[in-house]
Amino acid sequence: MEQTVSMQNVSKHYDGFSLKDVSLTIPRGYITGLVGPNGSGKTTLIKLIMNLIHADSGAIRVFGKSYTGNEREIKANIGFVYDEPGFYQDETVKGMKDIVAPFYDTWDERQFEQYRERFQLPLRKKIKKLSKGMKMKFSLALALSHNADFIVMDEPTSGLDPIFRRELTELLSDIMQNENKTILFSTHITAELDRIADFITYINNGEIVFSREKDDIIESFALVKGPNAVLKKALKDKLAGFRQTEVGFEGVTDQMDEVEAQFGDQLVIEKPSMEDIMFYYSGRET
Amino acid sequence: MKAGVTVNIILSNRSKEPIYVQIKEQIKQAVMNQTLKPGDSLPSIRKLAKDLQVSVITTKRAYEELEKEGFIESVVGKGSFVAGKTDEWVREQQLKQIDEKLEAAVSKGKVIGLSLAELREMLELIYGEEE
Repeated sequence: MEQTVSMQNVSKHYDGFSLKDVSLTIPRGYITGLVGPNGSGKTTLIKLIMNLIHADSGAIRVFGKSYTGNEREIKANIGFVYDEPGFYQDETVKGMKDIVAPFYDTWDERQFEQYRERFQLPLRKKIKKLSKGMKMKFSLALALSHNADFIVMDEPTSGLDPIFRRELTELLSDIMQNENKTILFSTHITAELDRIADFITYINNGEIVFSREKDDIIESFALVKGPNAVLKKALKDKLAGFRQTEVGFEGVTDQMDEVEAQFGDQLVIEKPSMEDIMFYYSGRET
Repeated sequence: MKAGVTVNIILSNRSKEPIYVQIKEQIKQAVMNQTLKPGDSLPSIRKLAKDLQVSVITTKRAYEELEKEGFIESVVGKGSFVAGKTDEWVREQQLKQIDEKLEAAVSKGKVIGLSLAELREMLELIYGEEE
């Protein structure tokens, strides 16, 4: 598998937050979802990949190249979608597009026009008058209109209604019809990831908890529920995390087979969602 | 797909079976009941992932397993097709089903004391009616 991004032992320290010794790869031709609670380091990681901030140590390569000496070439091939685009607020949609387009040799006006229509972006409206969702759609249209091979999206679904979130996943699978494209997107709304993501990188407290194929993750965890009487040490030890109330408990285990063999007849065992896994994993005390 | 050939794949999130297994089994089922015939082309891995709104890895895995089990063949640059020898497999499966049904009929017959001759007579009668 060819890697669009590879990071080796990357660290970045801030006051009160550090990204610690991150090594990971983002394979070409697939969708990777970057998940984690707020403040876990998702945006820092994306900024490092975009070379918007610099690592204290470690190596980052994009399209097999380091940024030194290749920055222009690499960036021309990335479409970046982010939460709070630094748009000139008094500019119109058209005016802003006219500012951005010349930066790209591969700008495709027809493509932009198609997305503008699909997203129903009003050309003459000022940026500051756009809703949050509209700004995101505009950012998407700009990012997708210069034939970039790597689409990076920081929280693209925040501020979007459920209908457009569905449209977005459809749009992403359109892009993935071309096996040379790579998509990375961060989110804390995991429903989209449950559907179309190929790989999930889960980050918490500045550390990568896991970075694996989504199907593998879903298959190796189970959601278990049962009466409190069953929740003794032997079972607790097998749970990555759990939530207990007066009327029972629910938790996630990565030792499905053993739990099923020992306690199966007393528990309800279900396929977990990414959200279940994230929730119980982040609550884990180590 | 050839013109007019379509296969329905309906995924359930409630099912305990992983999504790739559901896809695999439903394609197998379509081969079995001959909705899909040898030589029919299947949607590409990426197209199927888009249609089902699942990950590319999921459909890829389903196709890889179908290929390993001999149900489909993939040709680089051309896509995936229902394998030729599935004919044999379909026949085998059908024979197996007939076998099971006959076995059930025989054991039921034995319970009420039917002889082989009597059973044969019934079979001939039914076979004749069908023709």
